[in-house]
Amino acid sequence: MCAHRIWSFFFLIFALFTSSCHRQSIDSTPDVIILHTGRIRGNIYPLSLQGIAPLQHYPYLAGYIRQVREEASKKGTQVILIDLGDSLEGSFASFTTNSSNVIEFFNALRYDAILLGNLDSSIQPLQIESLQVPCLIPFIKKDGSPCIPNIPTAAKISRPNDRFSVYLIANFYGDTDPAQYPERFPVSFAGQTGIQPVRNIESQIASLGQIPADSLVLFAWQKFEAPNSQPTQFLQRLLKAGVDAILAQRVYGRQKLDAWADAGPADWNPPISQNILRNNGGFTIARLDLKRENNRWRVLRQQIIPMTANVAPPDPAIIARIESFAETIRKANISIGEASQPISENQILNLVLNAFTSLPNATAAIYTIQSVRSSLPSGTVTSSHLYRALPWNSPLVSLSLSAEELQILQSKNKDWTIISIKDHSSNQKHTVICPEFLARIALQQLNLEAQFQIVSESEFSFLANFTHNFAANNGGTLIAPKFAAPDGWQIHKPNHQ
Amino acid sequence: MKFRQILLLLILAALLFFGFFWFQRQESAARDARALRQLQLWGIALNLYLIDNDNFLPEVGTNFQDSPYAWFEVLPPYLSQPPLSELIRNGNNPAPGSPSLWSSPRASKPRVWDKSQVYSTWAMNRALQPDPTSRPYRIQELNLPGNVIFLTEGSGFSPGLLPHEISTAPGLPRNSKTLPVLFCDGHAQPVPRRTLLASETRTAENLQKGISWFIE
Repeated sequence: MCAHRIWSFFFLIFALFTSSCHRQSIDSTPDVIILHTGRIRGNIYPLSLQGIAPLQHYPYLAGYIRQVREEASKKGTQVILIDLGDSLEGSFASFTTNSSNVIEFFNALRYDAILLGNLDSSIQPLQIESLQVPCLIPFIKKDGSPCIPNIPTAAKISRPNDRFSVYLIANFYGDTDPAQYPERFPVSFAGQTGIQPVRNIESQIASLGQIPADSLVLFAWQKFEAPNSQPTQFLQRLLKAGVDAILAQRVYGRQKLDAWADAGPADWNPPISQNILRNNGGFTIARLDLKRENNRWRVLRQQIIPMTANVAPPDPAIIARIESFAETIRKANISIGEASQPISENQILNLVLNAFTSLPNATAAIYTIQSVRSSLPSGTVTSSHLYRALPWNSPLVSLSLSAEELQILQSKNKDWTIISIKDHSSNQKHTVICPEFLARIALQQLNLEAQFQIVSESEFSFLANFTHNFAANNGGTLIAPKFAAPDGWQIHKPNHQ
Repeated sequence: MKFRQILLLLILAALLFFGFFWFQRQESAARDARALRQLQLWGIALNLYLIDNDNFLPEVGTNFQDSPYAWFEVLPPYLSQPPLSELIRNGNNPAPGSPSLWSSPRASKPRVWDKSQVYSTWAMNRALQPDPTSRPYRIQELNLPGNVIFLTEGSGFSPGLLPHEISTAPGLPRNSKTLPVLFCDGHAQPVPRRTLLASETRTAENLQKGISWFIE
């Protein structure tokens, strides 16, 4: 009798143990996994050049993508890989290789589509041609024609043998009117002027022709500022147009540090998958798992994943392919001068204004402290250091403005630094040097039809040359903390000093 | 009949005995895994901090009370957590075994604990800022960031650590053979205690082997 009790006890323990191991049988296999990167900003360096760019995430990114694809192929899940833009340019490596380093990365990983962002605006048609990946752009000309010939604003991106047809709609800033924030919208792209963001989502979708009922329509929102409350009208518009999911790059200011922990508006309809819009250089990838159920797409998983060795093993194949660019980058990384102490961002701003006003006939210059992206280290300053501080490869222009007009611009743009080296009371017009995007904003704000002249095709090349000569004229030394100022130097807004 | 009863009881006792050790081992492995996950969170914060701060590493800090630019002040906000100074100001000093970023899940609650003490299991590699008055290193000044130690279990009462101070914090298992370590590229992995102590020697060879306290 007692033995029976003991056996019953064992049986009970066993039953409890096995019942706790039981899992509810819900089919959690996704039909489609969407992975999206963005803002890589050219940070694809050969690993042998870690001295220039020590944090390289692409080996793990490639390893993770490979892992997801391998697992998905076993379950019959379709994987879609997209880059949401601002990835081709922005690093010394992409500057010296004409973005071939990033293009090689996209081609090797067989991306399904890439978007061109406003920070890819110097890209040339020849480089786009070398992309073996469908390319989309969220900008059009004022007459509605493509900003770059043969680059659509919406396209079918799935391959012929894929289970589901997938369509991608490129968008820049949601339905925000460019007049609201003119400084955030590019007005030229790849040498084309007079461009604007495409905002007619309905006509973008109509351009795709007949879309099968079980397709997946994705809306790529390049600059996404999560509002405090749901933009109900806009979401309704997207749903009505047939959008199934939103892929977004969420804008975070520097003061918003907990971007990672902030899940954001996860309960939107259509669902939204967010990546972090910072210069993450490939540190994050966003993942959205979807399942087709009852004629709609259900979200199984939404996640931002950091790309470190903890997530996936590095992919040796991609490391070897990128290594082939090492020699080109190394050769271009020449010494510019010596700095006796670190050169601050404000001192670099000073250097830039010096450089602009050194041009023949130049009497004024405009620049912003926000355009200076890093300080310079003490010791030998190389061209890659300078590029990290001033990563702008767009044209430098001159325009003719009166002192009065400069004052108006200063009052309208508190964060601009405007300097002149000529008497303000003079009636003569100033020849103002500034980057092209600032010139366009200035002309728009002043309601001027006037044109500007391009004085240098590449702002960075001009500044690198100036800095090199500056150092050479000072016995190889970049003088810190203050660069020499031209005679008559006047600063309208000295706050940055 | 009596013999069979004794035999069954013996089997039951043996099962309970081995079950207890098996459970303990599983629990210890789970705690180790949780510690690694916690370090990975610190790694995410470190990467985001580097992006925002021109690739400068945070400072080590001389003490927990007065180091506004040290890792324990500047990294937690990236994870929606208050900096350590705020916890101290509000009288919420972390303690070993408490569920927070500051206590390694491997640490257990001591029987007696003075709540006014400031505690953090994790401590930053002091070699990353040898002179507290000078600026910290930039990540590009490290030859192989993925091999250089950033954070690991320290003494519990100091924000920085040297190799001989590893894993001496109250509440930590005294005889564990491996320790969770976060490296400067943001990845975390368990490292044998012996390797951590051996890599105290400052050689480029140690760095190439994969673990180093130093930047060469």
